[in-house]
Amino acid sequence: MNTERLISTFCELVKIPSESPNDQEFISYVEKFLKIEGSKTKLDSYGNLIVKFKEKNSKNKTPIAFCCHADTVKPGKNIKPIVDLEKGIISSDGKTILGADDKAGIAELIEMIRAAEKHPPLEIIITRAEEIGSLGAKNLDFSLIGAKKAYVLDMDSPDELVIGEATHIHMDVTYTGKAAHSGVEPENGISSVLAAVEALHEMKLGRLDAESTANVGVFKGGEARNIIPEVTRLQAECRSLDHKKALGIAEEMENIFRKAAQASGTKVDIVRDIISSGYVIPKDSEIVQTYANALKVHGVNPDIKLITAGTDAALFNEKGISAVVVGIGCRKIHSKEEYAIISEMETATKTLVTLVEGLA
Amino acid sequence: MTRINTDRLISTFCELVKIPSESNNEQDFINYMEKFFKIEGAKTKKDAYGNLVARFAAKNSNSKETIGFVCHADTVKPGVGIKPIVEADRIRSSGDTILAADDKAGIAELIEMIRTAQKHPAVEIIITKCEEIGSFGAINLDYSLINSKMAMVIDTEEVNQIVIGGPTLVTFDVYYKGKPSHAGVAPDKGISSIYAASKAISQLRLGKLDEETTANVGVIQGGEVRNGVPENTKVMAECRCLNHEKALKLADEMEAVFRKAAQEVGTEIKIERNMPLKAYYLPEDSDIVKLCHKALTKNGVDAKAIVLRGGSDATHINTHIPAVVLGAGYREEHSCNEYVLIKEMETITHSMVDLIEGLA
Repeated sequence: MNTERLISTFCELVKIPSESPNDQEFISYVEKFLKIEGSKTKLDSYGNLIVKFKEKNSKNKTPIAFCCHADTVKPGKNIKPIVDLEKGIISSDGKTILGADDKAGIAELIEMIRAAEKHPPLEIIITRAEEIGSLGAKNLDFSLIGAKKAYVLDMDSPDELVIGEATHIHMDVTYTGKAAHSGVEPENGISSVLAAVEALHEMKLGRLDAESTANVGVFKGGEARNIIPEVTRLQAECRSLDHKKALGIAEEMENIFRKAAQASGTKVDIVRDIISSGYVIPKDSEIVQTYANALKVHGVNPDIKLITAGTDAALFNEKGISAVVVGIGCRKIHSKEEYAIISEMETATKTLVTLVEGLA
Repeated sequence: MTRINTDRLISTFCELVKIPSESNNEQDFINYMEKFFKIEGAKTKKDAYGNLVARFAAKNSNSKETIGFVCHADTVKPGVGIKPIVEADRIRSSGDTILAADDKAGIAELIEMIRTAQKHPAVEIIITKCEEIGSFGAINLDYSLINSKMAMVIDTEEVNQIVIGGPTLVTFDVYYKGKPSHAGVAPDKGISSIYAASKAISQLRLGKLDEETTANVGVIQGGEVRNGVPENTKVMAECRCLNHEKALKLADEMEAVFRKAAQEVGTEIKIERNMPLKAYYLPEDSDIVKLCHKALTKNGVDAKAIVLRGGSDATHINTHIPAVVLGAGYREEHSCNEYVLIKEMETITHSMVDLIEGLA
């Protein structure tokens, strides 16, 4: 593989903004890019990109899939990547994220295709809107995909090999009270903020146990300082590696939300959305072991584990395509301190090359 | 007794509410009022802040005095696209907006007053900006343009009230800053600003605390994204008391609660505290109160001198000339249920006609 080419491709990719859900321009760019590499490309109706490469120097007709997401979090406009060869890292100028999550993965896939001397048929899938709930993967046209095994590139470190994820549930909660002038007649109002506060007070949030978490990420209520706040909106979520447990946690949270509404005399409206169902791939399965072995070839000790974060892999597994998640060589994602480690990007690329050459 | 033209009063009112003038966007409406007053025969002038002063010369009168009236131009939200519905005893909004009777009923009543009175001393009608967001118009009014030695602010609900005092108002903008983290992966590494804010709010004494004291949390804006431990939360709160010392004591108490929660949860905190209104009190036997009382009694109203917890321009005008607040007849202001009672509009207008004719 060619490190200079890998870095250069990566820097090109991060400069094209793709903050969720405005990732279509970037996907168009990647489509044009990959067409040049000799593939058939297609966009499904949601705008996800599916790129197919024929087998190369191989009699194996069984396709294998690789997946990255196109979108980034904010602030992701005007990204200026800074390559420090001495330190061996690439970072942003501190005003934006870097976009290594997930464009380091895309760059590594492109380099893998260029470097591999042989490989089975490949399907490269670039999904939209992963950061805001795996919306691209949720709406992916799986009829366009022939592979029964997929590697999702979206973990920090190349030694991470994720074989299971949590069930992930969203809750959108809206409290409605009654507005009134807070100075003149507060007794005629009912505060939706107080109802929400009451619920949060009762609720267990954060890490609940080794396999479960719960969070209220957004809490917005009220119109003006001198009005009893009529409407308050919460965005909540819970996750658990145990599917039944996740449902139980969501149920409990919703009961607490409802109880607070009743106690306060407000109306509550809860919309629950099961974003993805958890999955666990057996440790000794081929999909896991072939990647683990490829890592070992390059001196990496695989860290096989389960996580509570969500990735697109959950949606693949739901549709019957075994999918695991592997690392790309980035740190401090979702922040302006995000950076990519060049040696890890090299390792990830070499591992991928070893993998596909081994399957040819 | 000079009778007003009720149809004309209602029609003027409906005209005025259709011109949107949400706080800070009232220029169009003020320009409209300037033209309107000019047509009615007034000399008009705008001060540097954009407040409007319309001066009507004495009519059939040798009085050298000037009497002042004040209304505010701006409204709260939602105040665009108002469609007033005239019913037998009231005018109301169509339910999707406010009515803006606060304070355009007052303006319409003053216009009808000036059209009806057969004689009067010089009359100044002052239309202020930005009352709803903190009486900034009245605070910045150029008093060198004002000849009046006393003023009637037409800006409260019931016409049987003469407001002779107002509260001290202390406002808080509280900023909590925690530590961000991915809520699904590492919630324990984050510190939730929403948690700190909620803790504080649950410990505050809020609502109507006694006859002269209120406190409110009007707005909370916490967090950016569902799957993040929320780093930043802003809370907008206030307290009011008709007793200045008591207000300051309560404000200190609230501030201590905000800070304690930050300390307990481990967030940073920044508080911007202001005192936009200071409590005032006019003696019940002062000339202005007696004048209003006489005029209202003449129209069958048993008016009571009261002190209100609501803020109005009168607080600031009283630092220059005595000012009382009289009722315009509106109800449920600052809500989409706002309406104005036609009989009360007539009563206050007749009373003001009698008042200025009595001074001629």
